Amino acid sequence: MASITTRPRLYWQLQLVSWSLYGLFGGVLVTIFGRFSVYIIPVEVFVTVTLIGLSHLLRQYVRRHGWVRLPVLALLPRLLGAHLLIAILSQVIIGLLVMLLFSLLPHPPRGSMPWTQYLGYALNTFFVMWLWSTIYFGLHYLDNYKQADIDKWKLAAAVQEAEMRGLKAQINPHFMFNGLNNIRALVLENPARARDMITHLSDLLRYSIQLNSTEKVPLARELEIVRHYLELEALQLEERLHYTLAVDPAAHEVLIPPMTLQQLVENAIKHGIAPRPGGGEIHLSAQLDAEGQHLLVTVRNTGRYQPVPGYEGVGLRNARERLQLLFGPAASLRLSNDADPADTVLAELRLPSTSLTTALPRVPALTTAFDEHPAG
Amino acid sequence: MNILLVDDSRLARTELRHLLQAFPDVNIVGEARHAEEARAQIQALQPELLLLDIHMPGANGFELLASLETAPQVIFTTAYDEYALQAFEVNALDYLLKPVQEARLAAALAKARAQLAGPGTVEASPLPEEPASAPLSAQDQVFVKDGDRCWFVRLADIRLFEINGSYTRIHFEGHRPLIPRTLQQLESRLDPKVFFRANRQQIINLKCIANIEPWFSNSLRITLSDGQEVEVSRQQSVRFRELLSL
Repeated sequence: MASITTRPRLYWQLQLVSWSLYGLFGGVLVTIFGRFSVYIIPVEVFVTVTLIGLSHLLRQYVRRHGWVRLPVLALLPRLLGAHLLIAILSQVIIGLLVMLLFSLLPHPPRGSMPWTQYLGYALNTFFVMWLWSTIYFGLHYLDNYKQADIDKWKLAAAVQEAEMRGLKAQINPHFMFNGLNNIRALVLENPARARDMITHLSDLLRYSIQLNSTEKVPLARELEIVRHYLELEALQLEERLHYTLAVDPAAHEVLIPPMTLQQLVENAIKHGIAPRPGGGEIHLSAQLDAEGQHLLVTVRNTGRYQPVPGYEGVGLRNARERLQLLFGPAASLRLSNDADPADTVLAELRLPSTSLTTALPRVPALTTAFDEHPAG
Repeated sequence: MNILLVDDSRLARTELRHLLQAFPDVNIVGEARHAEEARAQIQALQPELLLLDIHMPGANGFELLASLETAPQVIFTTAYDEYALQAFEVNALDYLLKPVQEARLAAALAKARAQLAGPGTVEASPLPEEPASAPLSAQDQVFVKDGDRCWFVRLADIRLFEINGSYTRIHFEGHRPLIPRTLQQLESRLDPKVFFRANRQQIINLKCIANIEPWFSNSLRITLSDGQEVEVSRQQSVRFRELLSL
């Protein structure tokens, strides 16, 4: 995408043109208000080159430390320091260069510049650097604003697409019809369990139909769905499926995109357990990291991860896209083969921990209302 | 009608058993949970009809059929399959979507019953012969999968078997798919009254011969019903003449 942030040519054009103009303007001012001398030309060249160099160093620093993403109040003191430093440093460098030039000349000009003059120049540079930063950050904010707008539209489009694909992509029809068929037999064999299974299936269906109206759900709710899903798969796979869910209660409130864990577990069954006549195991664990900043979910299952180059399953790609749109680079989803124990596929999901209770003041009524199953 | 149920889900098999109770002529001889078990059961129980799930752990239903020397009558059962079933040619196939409707099941069984009562049963000798060494009759069918397309092909419909590496290309109707068997393997199992080894590369169906003409140095050239020409080697031409003069 063409944005200022990723257009180095524009940056260099602006740098060269504006600092050259600045040097030229300085020369003109001296000529008008002072007295023209040929030495003004090399001195103004020094000024231009030094300021291009120093402002470029500032830009490198800004980029490395991600100042563009800082809030204005955090950015201003940092810029104040940086501009002061550049103002002083630039005059020291220019002064040294001028001294070096004069010492090389056979007939150095008479009379030296008083140090107060450098103070004036430093002050001037200080203000010009504020102008530089205003333009630099201004363009970036403009870009980010545009980017945020685009992201918002993309997310809306993705949600819409998911809605359109509806049940088809979210709940695998093969799974659903097998489930119904199994329940049909279970009605004869164990009517009470059959009734439970119908409840599991209906909650799963309701969730997948309603999910697109909300972008994120608390982990605890998603886990309920994963349990429904596993119960239904256990009907099909019976003794071939063993699973455990180990979830830290502290992570229950963390918000995640709906169907994400369900999809990881579905993948584990579809590619790991179901193809094996002997079946296998699934172990899901979820906890917060040491600082409580990130939610870590791991799904381990029997199987081998053999990605086809250039091809990623629809479910996995969909989950990655949604994570990317909702959390940006802060979220990640990785699949790999785990050596211990052998023949294990490991899926690791990491995303920043946000919850309703941190976003809003803790109102118990609100959270219970959210956790309650929608009736009818 | 002896039926073998092949499905990885126990409940799905229970469900089929329940549905099949309504048909007194149906005798469920066994159940299998996956292709390997099914292969052994088919060998041991010689069912006339398979109710076969497509998705199973290990080999799927198609792979199971392709690995069998002859395919029994098959009714596929599947929960949802947009693609696999579209690929099918209509011949000798029926399929049921799970959960199965009683009426659809009755229709599929009627179709299978009609097939089994057809010409095939006359020749399928119920003698207690060693099953592995009994020659295949012309009414036996093989399951052929070539890329996305599948067929049940009666041997009588195959005009020509042609060597192709360790595979064999079969010619029937307008199709020429490969089957994963060597010509030697096939020759030893085919009925010698119907199929004749014309040369090192080809076996022809004697019932599909359109024309025979003498060729160089006492050999013969045979034209099959589709116009394909096959040269009979000198040695085999002698045997061919003997066969015809009988």
